Amino acid sequence: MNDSPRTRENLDRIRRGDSLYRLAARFASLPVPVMLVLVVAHLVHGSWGTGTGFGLASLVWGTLSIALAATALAAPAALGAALAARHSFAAGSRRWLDAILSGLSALPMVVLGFLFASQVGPAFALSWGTSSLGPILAGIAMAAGMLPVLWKRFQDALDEVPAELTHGAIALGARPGRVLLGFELAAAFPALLRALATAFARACGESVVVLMVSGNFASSWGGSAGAASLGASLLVLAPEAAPGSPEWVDVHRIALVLLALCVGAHALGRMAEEKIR
Amino acid sequence: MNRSRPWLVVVAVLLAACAAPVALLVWACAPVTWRIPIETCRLADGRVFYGAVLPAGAADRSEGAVRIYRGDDGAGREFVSVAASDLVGRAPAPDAWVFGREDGPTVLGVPIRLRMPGRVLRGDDSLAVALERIPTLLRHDRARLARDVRRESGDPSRFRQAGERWARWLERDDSTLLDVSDAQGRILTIRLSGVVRAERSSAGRESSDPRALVRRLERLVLAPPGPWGGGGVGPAIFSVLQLTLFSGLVAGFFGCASALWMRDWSRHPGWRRRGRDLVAHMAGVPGVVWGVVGAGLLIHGFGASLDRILVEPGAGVIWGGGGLLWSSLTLGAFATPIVLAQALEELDRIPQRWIETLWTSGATELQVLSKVVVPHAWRGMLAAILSGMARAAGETAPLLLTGALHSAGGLLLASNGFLRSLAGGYLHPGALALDPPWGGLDAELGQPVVAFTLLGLAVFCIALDLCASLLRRRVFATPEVLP
Repeated sequence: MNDSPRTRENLDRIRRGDSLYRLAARFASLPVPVMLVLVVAHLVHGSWGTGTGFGLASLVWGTLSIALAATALAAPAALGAALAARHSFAAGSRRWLDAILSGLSALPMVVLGFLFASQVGPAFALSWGTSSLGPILAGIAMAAGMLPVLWKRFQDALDEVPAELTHGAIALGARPGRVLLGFELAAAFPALLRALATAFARACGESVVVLMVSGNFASSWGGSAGAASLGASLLVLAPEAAPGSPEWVDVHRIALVLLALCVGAHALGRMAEEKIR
Repeated sequence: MNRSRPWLVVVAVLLAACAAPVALLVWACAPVTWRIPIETCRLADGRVFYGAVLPAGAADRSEGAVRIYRGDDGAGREFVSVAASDLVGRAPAPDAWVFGREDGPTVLGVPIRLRMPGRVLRGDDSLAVALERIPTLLRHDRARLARDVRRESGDPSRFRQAGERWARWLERDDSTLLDVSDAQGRILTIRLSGVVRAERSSAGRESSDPRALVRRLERLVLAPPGPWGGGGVGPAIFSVLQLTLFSGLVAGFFGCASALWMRDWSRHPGWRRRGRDLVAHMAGVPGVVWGVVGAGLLIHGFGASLDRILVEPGAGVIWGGGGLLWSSLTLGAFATPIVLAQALEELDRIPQRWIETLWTSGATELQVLSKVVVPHAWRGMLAAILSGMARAAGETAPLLLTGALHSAGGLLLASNGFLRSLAGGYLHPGALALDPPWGGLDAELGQPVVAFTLLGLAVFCIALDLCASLLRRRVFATPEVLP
């Protein structure tokens, strides 16, 4: 095809613009993988050294126990709420509910930490006559923060179940309980599991609530050390640690373990979802 | 399935549980709008003074000690501690005022008269109006004249004129005095320009005037530092806005650019899935880990290097001490994967056949971007940025490691201005809540201030996320029509 000089010029201009855009997008997106490499490299490099022999096991146990308690408290309520919303709200109203839940999910955890430390904690201590409720309160505070997050995620997971499946089951004469357990929950199970794992990973990474409510003190809770968590310890140790000192090494080790824990929980959730699907 | 009432009740109860923290926060910060009840306190040893019994309700106990705030009596004591049984009489003092001063101790008393050159003001109402306005005007004049004197120091004649104006102001200031009566009827004279806070007791007359409430809130946000819970919380709230804006710019640019790149160039299904998994994992990295990395790389690494290169020896640590810049970048890095993951979801909503149609028509990448992708995804991508900003605004942990403080420059809460320098510590509500700068009974007065600041933070985060949700609702409603 014989293009006129004007057409060729136009084509050249378009190609130049295209390559420029491609180059710009590539360069602009480069910092994201670089950030990941920097995070891991910095943590691994920083954690290389002698350290002070900090007891990581108790911190991991504390983190896991508080996150587990919070998830165990919030998950049933969130699942019940998501199911109730699915069966009582029309699609239009549910969109509004989604927006409200999304807004409430954005409530900073420091707010819950403050409320539980200054208002709820003293009230509990007065009623129960004990002040060693830190780990339990930290779990409840975190559960309160996780409730809208989990509710929203569970709702999204349940929304993925095709309405035809439910309608078909009802048309075939299945009872409501059977429809709920045998169809809706079964179909949504992989997505629910992933939502649960994601929320658990987020709970593991929460630091401010634990520090404010329980003070990051290891205490007897169910016969084991409980309320000292990885994130809260980072907040306590990191500002004091001078670069290169043994404390600096400890801080980086803790951060690396926390990173592995959160990413691991996340990845496990995704893998389980794919496997079950 | 039928919609039934029990389901609705369950939803309503759990929604109320989710919203309860916000309601509790409003309740906790309500005392900031109240005025302080001043009472006439009569002790068993015969002493009588104006004071506020703190904590509230402490004097109802028949045993133990109570502490009475009576300002600073000049010997550095703000509180008088007495046995509860020694407090033999309490009566509301509705005419008493609190006078916080910049040039002396806080005074609790009843204003008797205001003496100005050629004029004396008496009477409750005229005194109240004068006490609201005149001290601020006087201090404003003083600051202006002092600036003039400094500015004109190079020109002798103008310097002399400015000096004369300054001398006239000082003369007028020396004769603008307020006489205050204490509980025993003694008269104390204070300079009016030194009064930074003049507030009537709430005892016996609750304020129903909305203007008074607005003035009180204004003072809460803008007040200079002082006793009774410190100064205004404006700088802390403003630093949240600055941080959110900067981090939104960083996360928005890199997150959206990466989303566009990932959508266009990661077409191999395996890489596509792995890339998205990686983004999801990065979005789950806790803020405190980003804080450690930010502190290590930016403050101790990059900041320290900048100090070595840019700052003269002996000038101290500037960039290596944390600050808004490093905190914003850390928050931006934290929010980038969140924006990226959501932007990718939004880009996925664009039907692939639209793009294929354009490709088969010979369109270039840039044309696909400008004709289809941006017009149909900009709202969703903006929503993604707003969501990322909401998450970033609510994070406290990374900020505590990169420069957030609960007090700055020796000042409690209030700092020298709203626009903080990008280097150096800055005030933040999270730091204030985690490590309140008040001790003992002051904490009781400071707690509502913290709650008020956190309420501002919570409302800001929720509003950002709601805006994102509303934008997404419009995305869902987009009809599937090619432009």
